[in-house]
Amino acid sequence: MNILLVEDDHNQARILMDNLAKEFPSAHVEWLKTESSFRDSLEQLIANPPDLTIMDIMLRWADPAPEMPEAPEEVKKEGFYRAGIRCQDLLSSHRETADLPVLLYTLLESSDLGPELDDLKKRKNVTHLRKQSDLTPLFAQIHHAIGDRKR
Amino acid sequence: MAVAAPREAIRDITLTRLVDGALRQQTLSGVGKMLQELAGIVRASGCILWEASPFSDLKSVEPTGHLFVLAQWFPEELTRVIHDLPFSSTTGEAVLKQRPENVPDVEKDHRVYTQFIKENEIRSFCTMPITFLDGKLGALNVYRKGLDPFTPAEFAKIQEAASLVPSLYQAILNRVSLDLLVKVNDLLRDAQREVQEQEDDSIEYARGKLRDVCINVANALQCLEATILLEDAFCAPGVYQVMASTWPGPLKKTSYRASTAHGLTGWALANGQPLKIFDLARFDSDLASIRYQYPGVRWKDQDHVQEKAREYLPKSAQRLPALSFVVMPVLIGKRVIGAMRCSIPLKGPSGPFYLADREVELLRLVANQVGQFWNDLHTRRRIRQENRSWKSLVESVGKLNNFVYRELNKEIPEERQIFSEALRITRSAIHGADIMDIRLLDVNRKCLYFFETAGEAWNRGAPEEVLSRKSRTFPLGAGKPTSAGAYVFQTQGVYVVEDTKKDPYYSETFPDTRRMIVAPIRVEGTIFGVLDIRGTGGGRFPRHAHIMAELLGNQLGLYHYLATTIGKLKSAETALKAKVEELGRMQRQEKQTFEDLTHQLKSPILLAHARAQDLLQNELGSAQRSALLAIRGLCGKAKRATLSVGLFADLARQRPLHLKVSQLYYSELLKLLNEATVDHEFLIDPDRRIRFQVDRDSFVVLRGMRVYVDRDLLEQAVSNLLDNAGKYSYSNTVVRIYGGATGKGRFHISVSSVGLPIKATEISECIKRGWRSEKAQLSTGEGSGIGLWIVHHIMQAHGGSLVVAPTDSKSQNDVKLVFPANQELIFEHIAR
Repeated sequence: MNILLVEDDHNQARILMDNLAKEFPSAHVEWLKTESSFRDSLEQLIANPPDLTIMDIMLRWADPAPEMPEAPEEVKKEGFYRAGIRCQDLLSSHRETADLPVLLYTLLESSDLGPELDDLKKRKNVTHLRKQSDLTPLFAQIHHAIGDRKR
Repeated sequence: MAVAAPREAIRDITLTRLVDGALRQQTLSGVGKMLQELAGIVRASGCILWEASPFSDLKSVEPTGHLFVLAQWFPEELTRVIHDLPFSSTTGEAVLKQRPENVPDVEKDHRVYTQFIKENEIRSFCTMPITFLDGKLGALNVYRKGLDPFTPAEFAKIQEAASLVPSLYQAILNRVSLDLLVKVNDLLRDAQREVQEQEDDSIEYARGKLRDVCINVANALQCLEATILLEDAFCAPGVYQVMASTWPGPLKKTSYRASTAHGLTGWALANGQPLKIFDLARFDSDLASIRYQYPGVRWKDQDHVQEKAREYLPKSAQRLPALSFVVMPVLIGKRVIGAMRCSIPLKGPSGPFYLADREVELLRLVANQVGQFWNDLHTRRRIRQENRSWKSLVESVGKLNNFVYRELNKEIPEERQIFSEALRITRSAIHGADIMDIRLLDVNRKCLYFFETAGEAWNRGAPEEVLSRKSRTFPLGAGKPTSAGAYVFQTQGVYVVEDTKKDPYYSETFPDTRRMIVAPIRVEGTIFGVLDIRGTGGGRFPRHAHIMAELLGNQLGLYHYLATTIGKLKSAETALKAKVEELGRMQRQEKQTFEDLTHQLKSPILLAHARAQDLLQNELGSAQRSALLAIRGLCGKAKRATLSVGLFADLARQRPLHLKVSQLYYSELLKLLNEATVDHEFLIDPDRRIRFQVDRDSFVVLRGMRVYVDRDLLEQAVSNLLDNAGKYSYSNTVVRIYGGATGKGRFHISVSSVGLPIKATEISECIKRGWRSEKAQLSTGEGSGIGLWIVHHIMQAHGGSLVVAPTDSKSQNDVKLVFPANQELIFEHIAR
C-alpha cells in the first residue's frame, strides 16, 4: 500500500510516519513538505497514484531559499491558508487521481472551513478529519477508505 | 335808422339761434328746450317730438305699433298728458305717407279732435314727418291754442326747422353722452385713487362714488331710478348686490342672481345681454314680441314699479304711465360682473316717460366704465388678499416649523400633532377651505386611509356614522383611478376638482362638498399621502389655493420624512444603547473568560515545560534527551503563543502593556538565551540543517550592568526574533545571538541570520501589524505577521527600541533589541 503524506510540520510528519509504520507495516509512505514539491510530483503521482493521501490544509509554498520556485498567481493571492485544498483540486482534476481517497487531516475545524468543506463533502472520496493526539480515528479512516477501495 | 333785415336773413338768424341753443344742452331735457326754441320761432303753444315705437311695423297694409313721445315742450303743465298715438292718427298718417300736414282747425277734423287736443285747448297744429339719423321714423308736431292757424310761411319755416331736428337731437345726445362719460370717468378715477390709498379692502368709498355715477346717469337720462348692481366675488360670488341706486326709498330687492327667476334684471344677468322694455304699461300686450326678443323673460314686481311710478308721476297721468325699463349688463369680456338698471324716465313734468334705443346706448358706455373700474378694484383687492394670504401662510409655516421642531425634540414625536396643526393653518390660509384631512398611504393594503381630519363636518351624525366615515379607504392601483387621491398618486401633481358633480375621479365622502383640492404629500419623488381641502359654499377657491396646497403638501412631506427618520433614529439610538451595554457586559465576560482560558492553557503548558526541564537535569540517553528537548521546545512555543494571544488582544485594543520588571542577572540572561536557542533548533526541520548559536563572549560587557526587564516579555521578544530567523533562514545556515553595549552606553541583544531579505524600503513597514514580505508569505505555513509588531511594542514599553537593519549583500539579516543604558530610565518610563 502506498500512502502519500503532504505535511509541512516535520514534528507531526515524523510522529505520523512512525505510527503509520507500526499500524500498517507493509505500507510505503511518501512525504511531501510543501505545495511546490506536491506540484512538482504531480506528474509522477498521476503515473503511479498512491492508494491514499493524507493532506494537511495549511501548507507553505516552499522552504526559504535564495532561488525559490515561482508561485502561481492564485498562490500569491490566497497564500498558504487553503494550499491543501488546492492540491486536492489538482488531484481531482485528473482522471487517474480523481477518485483517490483523500483525508484532509488538519487542525482546522469544520466551522473554520465552512462552505469550502461543504463542496468537498460532495465528493465521496474526500474526508475531513481534525488532527488530535490520538491517532486511532485517523487509522480507522484509513482502514475504512482502503476497505472501500478494495470492495 | 334801423334797416329791416331781409326775410332770408331773419330766417337764418332764427335757425342759428335754434342750432346754438341745441348745442348748449347737457341733459336730455335739452331736447325739450330745443323744442321750446323751435316753438318760439313760430309762436307755437307747444311742441312734441314723436318716434315710432320699437315693435312698430310700418310696411304692412295695416301698420302695427304706435308713436311715442320722445320729447315735448309746453309752457305749463298739461291738463291732460299724452303718451302715444296710433298710426291711424293725422300724425301717424303723416309718418306713414311721409307727408307734412297743416291742421288749421282741430274742431273741424274729427281725426285729431282727441281728449288731449280738447282738454289742452289746442286749436291748430302742424305735423312734420322726420327720419332720425339711425333711420327710425318719427314726427315733429307744433301746436297752437288760439284761433290763429299756422300760415303757409310759418308752415314752411316749421318744415325747414324740422329738417334740422334729427341732427340737433343727435348732437344733444352726443353732448349728453360725452358730458356724462367725462363726469363718470372723473368720479371713478377719484374712486380708484382713493381706493389705492386705502389699506383695507373696504368698498364703502367706492359705493359712494358709484352712487354719484348713478345720480349723473339718472340726471343725464332723466330717470327716477339709476341702479348699479355688482358681484362681490370675494364675499358672495354669484350674487349681484345693489351697490348704489337713486331709487327713492328702500329697494324691494337688494341682491340678484343670474337667473330668469330673478325677473327682468335676473334675465339680463343670466344672458349677458341688454334688456329694454320700452313700455312697461304694454308688457302684457307686447309679451309675445318681448318673449321673442328675450326668451323666458319674466316681470315679477309690477305692482312695486307701478306704485312707485304713481307716487312720482303727475296726477294728470290717468292711466299707468308708459314707462321704459332698461337693464344693461356690466361685462368684462364675456363675464357678467354686474348690471346697470334705469327705470321710470321723467323727462318733463308731464312726461315723456320713454327712453329711446339710442338713449339706452348711453348706458352701455357707462356700464363699460363701471365694469373696468370694478374689475380694477377687484383685481387690486384680489392681489392684496393674495399677498395677505401668502404673508399669513409664510408666517404660519414659520410657526409650524417651530412647532415641528419642538415636537420632534420630544422623546416620542407625535406626527398626528404636527398634521393637526398643519390643517389648522391650512384652514386659515385658504379662503373657503371648510373640510380638510390628510390621507396617508397604507403600503401593505395599497390604499389611502384618513390619518388626520379637521372641520366640524367630520363629526357630524351618529357615532357609528362618524366612525364609518373616518374608516373609509381608497384603493390605489395601476388602472383607472377610483378617487381623486388615487389620481394624484398616478400623476404626482396637485388635482383641482372644480365641480364635484361633474368630476370623473371624485369619490364622495361629504354630499355637500362642491369643490376640492388634492395635493400630494411628498419628498422628492416619493409620495406618502395627500392633503385634501374641501369647499362647501358658493364661489371658488382663490386662484392661488392650489399652489398653497402644493406648498403645504411638500412641507408635510418633509415633516413626515423628518418625523419618520427621527423616530427611527431614536429607536435605533435606544437599541444601540442597549447593544452597547450588552456589548460591554459581553466584553467583560469575554475578558474574564479569556483570562480564565489563558490561565487554564498556560498552567499545564508551564507545568509540562517545567517537568521537561526537571527531567533534563537527569542522566538521560541521547534519544530521550532529544525527545525531551523537543517537548520542551513545543511547550515553550505553546507558552509564547499563549502570551502572544494576550499581548495581541491588549495591543489591538490599544491598551498599554503592563511590565513586571525585575532585575535580570547576567547568568540568567545567558541561560534564557541558551534555552531559547536549543528549543528553536529542535523546532526546525533537521533536514534544513539550521543551527542556533549564542555568542557568549559578546555578552561579557553586560556582566557589570544592572539589567531590569520584564523577564517574560524579554523571553517573548527574543523568541519572536528566533522564530522569524528559524522560519526565514536558508538551509545550512547559522542563526547567531549576540549582545553588547552600543556607543552611547546602551546595550543590545541581537539576532543575526542568513535568509530571506528585508529591503531598505521595507524597514519602516516590517514593524507594522500583519506585514510580511511576499517571499516570507510563501515560505511559511503559519503565522500572521504580528511577531515584529509585538516586539516593537515590548521594546517601546521598556523605553528601548527594535532596530531592523536592511539585508546586506551576503543575505545577512540583523535585528537588535536595544535597551536604555541607564536602567533607571525603564522605571521612569513605566511610571509615565
